[in-house]
Amino acid sequence: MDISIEGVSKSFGETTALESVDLRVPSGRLVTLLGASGCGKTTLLRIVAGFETADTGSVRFGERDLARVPVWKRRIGFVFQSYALWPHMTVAENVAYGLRLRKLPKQEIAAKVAAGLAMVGLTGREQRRPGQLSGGQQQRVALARALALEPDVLLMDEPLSNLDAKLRIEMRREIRRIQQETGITAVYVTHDQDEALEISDLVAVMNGGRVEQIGAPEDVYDRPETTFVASFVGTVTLLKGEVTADGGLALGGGATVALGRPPGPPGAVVNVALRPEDLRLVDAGAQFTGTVVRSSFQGSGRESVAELPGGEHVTFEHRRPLATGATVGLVADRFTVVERDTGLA
Amino acid sequence: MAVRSRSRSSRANWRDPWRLAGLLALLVLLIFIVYPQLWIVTAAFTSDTGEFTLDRFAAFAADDRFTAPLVHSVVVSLAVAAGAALVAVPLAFVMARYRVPGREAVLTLLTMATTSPPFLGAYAWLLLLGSGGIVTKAAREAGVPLPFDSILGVGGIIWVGVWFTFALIFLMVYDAFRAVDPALEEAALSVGSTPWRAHWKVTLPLAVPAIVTGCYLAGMRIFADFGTPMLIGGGYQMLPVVVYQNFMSEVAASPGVAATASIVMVLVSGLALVAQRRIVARRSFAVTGGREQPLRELRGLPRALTLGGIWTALLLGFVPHLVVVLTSFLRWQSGILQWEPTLDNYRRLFEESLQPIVLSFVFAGIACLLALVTGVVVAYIVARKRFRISGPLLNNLVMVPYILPGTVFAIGFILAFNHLPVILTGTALIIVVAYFIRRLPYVMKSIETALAQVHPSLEEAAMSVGAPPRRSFRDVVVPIIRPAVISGGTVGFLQMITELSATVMLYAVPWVTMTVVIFTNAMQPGSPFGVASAMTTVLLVSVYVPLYLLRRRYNIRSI
Amino acid sequence: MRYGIMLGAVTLALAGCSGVLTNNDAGAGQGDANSLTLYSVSGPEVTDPILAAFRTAHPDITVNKISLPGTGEAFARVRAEKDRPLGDVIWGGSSELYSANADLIAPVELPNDAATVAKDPNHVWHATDLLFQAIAVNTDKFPDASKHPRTFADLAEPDYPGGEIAFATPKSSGTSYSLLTTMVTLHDWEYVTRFAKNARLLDGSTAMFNMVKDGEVGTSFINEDLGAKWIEAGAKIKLIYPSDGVSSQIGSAGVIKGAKHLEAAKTFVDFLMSKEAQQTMVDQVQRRSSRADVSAPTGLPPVEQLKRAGVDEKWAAGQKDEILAKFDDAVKSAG
Repeated sequence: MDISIEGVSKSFGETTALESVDLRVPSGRLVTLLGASGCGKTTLLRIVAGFETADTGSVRFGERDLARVPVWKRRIGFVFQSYALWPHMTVAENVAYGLRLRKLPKQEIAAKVAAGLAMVGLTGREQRRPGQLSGGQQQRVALARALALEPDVLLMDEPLSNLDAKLRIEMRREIRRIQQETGITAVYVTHDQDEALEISDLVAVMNGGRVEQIGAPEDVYDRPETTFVASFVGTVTLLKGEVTADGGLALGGGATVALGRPPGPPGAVVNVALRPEDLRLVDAGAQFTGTVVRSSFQGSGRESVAELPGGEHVTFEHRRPLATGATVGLVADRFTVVERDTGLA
Repeated sequence: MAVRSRSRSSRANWRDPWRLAGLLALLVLLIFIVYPQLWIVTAAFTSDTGEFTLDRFAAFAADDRFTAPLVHSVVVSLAVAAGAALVAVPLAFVMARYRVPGREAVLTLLTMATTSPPFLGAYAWLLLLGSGGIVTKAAREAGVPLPFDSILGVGGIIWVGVWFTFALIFLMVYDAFRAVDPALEEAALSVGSTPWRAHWKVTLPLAVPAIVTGCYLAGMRIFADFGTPMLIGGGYQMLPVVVYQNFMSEVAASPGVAATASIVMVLVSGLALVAQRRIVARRSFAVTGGREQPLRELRGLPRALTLGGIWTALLLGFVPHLVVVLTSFLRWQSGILQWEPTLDNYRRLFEESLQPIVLSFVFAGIACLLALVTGVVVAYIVARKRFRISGPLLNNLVMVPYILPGTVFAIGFILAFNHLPVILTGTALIIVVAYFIRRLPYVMKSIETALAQVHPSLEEAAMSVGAPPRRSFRDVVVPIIRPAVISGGTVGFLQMITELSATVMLYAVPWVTMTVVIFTNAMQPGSPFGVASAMTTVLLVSVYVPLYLLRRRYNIRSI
Repeated sequence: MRYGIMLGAVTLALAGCSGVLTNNDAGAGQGDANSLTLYSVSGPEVTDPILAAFRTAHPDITVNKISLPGTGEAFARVRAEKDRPLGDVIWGGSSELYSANADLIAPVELPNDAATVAKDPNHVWHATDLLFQAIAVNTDKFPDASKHPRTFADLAEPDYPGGEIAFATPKSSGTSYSLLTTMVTLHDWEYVTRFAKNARLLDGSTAMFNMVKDGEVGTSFINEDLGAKWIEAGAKIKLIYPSDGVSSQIGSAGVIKGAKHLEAAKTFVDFLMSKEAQQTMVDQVQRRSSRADVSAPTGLPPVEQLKRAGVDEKWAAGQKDEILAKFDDAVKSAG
């Protein structure tokens, strides 16, 4: 079942949380809403769920317009950041609650609860209370509870942000596996770009109540459409300058760099995004020359920052150690011209 | 397009059953709080010749016969709240974290300690610590120096106030400490914090809403109390006494002055309410269904100190009760205690009808149910809903009866309900309604505190799996807040069944309650206090026994 | 389901109870004419013996007694109910309070009015007893009998040897008001200033009585009947009737205007003044009778031995605000 969001706006008093948001989530896909806190991603998710009402615009699941459909009739599963397990019910009761509301036969409920808990790897914990489980286990229960009713869509609001780093990685793979096994349409809210890139079919990057770009993780990473997206998703060097007559880029600091091909028609002001892995250290024929101001070891490689004569900082990846203060030459194997300047993350 | 959608969303709001419930609650409050007490506002803003005026407020502000009592009242209320918190918070913390022998008994006793024997409570302290008091005299004869000559005075008001209110704060804070997710403290420990630092920086802030609400209720109880300062103030002027005297003086009552002072009191307590709301609202939720606090062991000196502290506080909290029970078995002559044991007081009591016992329970029982239902609705709306008008209105209106002296409150009731369209005077219903409205603030506040600890996502989770709001409220919210509702309802019931000042103005024969019997037998300095003590003992026993059973039945699981 | 049953049960209970609760026979008095509602300001130690006598004398009339904390509260209730009075008789407190609230009282002339020593020409109040106020000294706190005060004048001496004198604020206490007007009648306002220097002001007369009994202060004032009873019960106090003049009050009763049971009310108030009731008042309540033909109770000196202060009642009742304002000034200038 696909989800279409059209022209949704929402304000709380004076503050505008969402400004005419359009978004389509194709059936069976997982879309992440990625953005910093306050960008409106949670509000959008809550409007889809029905916890909030949009001021304008519409939300549809398939052909069904949800404007007059309250939360409890929308057939959603929702996973909360705070787990929101009912402390007075056992694990099994938490999962079974929605099934009981549907007045399903006892055996069927028991079977579904068992299957749900098996799916999240919690068989044998049925009679525990949520208070006796770890955070990761609690979130698994929440997931089983959300999926027990076989809802049309699964909505997740930063489900992993209360977990520690290692568990987070484990759980997001788990969530992706379960989503793909069940083939459910899912919307996943996060502020963690790694999480978003790893688990999504589509990433919607939000900023200031708008969706800045929506696309496959690769697209969002490799072909950011706005400077905000470029800077929010992964590490990036953004160089702003005017295209010179010979196809170089005149930077604000005074230096001009040749990028191999012109980033635009002469005279145009453009933003060029360079990923660290796109830059290569060279001994001769450098496009950029700068001084190393920072260098850090990251296991698989090193990431360093060079300062160009005009003061711009360029981040690049390399393998052999570099001392700060050393002069380095760099070549960009590829670069992206970012269409719109929407500021930095 | 925009307009159409807006109307659609507002229609969706109206489907919310809480909106209707809120309006009903508001209607109840308007009829039983605003309408009866409007006369106070009128009296305060009308001159003697019947014109609108602000002169009374100007006169109030310029006259130290009013400003001094106002300052006294504020200072004493703050002192009592602080003192009671100093007693209650450490006790609550220890009880919430460590294995304390007799926990269930201590908790039950603390719930009992939230009510003081009506009318006779402060007398008991006088009897012990007055200039001619038992303890004072004994100390004097034994040559033990005491830091005071007599409990009479401002120190006495604060002393009695602290032991009168600390149990209120304890009950609220204890629940909050129990509810703090141990993971939060563990997190603090894991980043290198010492346990005490973790408590100071993590646990205590999480309990702040409960501490503040408890202090607020304790402070307000003293701020509105005129009985205690009148009895042991020894001439120390406090605002409720000024209000009372100006309303009720037999020589020269000036309702205008009294009304003005009442409104000042309402304003001051309104400020206190705003402060309380601010502090509570700024805090995040303590519970999201996390783990339960494990109870730790205590050994050696800390254990001895803890037990000593708990039982000392309990003993002091129960001084009034113990003294009253003791004196009910002694002979009183013309209001003076004779040290002769007797059962005569009980014989005289039981010669008369025992109907007051039944009536007290019926009145307080019905009123308590009403208060619980209304309290849940109001607390829920205040804590959860963003209703722009009814929310703040409910929140502020509901607290008004907490501040008005019972007698003044009762006068409003008579003025409002002694004529058509609603005649309640002379009936028993007026007492029930008065109990319900007067004690609603406490019930509502305790439910609100409990609700503040239930994260809204718990309900949203229920809705997301198909439960309509009513259902999710019933299946999720109610079970979680049930312990708090029961304890809030219990304390509310205790306060209703011991209500005196409004009852005395409203009751009619044959609707005589236990407190009326107590009061009638202790109203004048030469009255048969022994009978009053005996009735008080009967009241305490008849209330505490069911309370004990109730706690045994309901609280075992939550501890 | 369980909730449904519970809700149903509660609703039923409420409905049942409200039926019982709104039965307002007793209060509104739509019931039999032979009952009356009495607002009583005195404790059972005063009312019970006399009500028992009334029951014997008039077995056909039932008295529903409602006790109220004080005269102020009683009149406040009557005033609040004045559009639809629920009470028939108010009993207790002194005569000037009845005069001050004359708009709430039905003037009725009763057969026994003539027999009382104090009479209200307007028939608003009816004298049920006489109350004198004595100086009370706590003999533990203030043991030196040679220094005990003998007059009002002694109480205002700059070096009064008895320490603080408890005095309820006359604004809220009728007893104190009567003492104040006596002081001004016997002496002057300058005296009141000097007296205020020695006094500790209290909120109400109960505190004034209790503080001397409990030894919180050495000196106070007290209603003589209570003082006598307390001495009998073992309180360490001594009563002194000031020789320069004694203040007094007339204990009263009245019929509430618009009383639903007017005849019963008249019968009751008239009974309070009867010789029979007055004898009970003297013998069992130990209060002075309002009738000349009933002598003082044992333990209280005969009226003839006391010098009455002779306060101008018209002045005391008519210029109350001014008198109270002057008292405030006196307290202020006393510091």
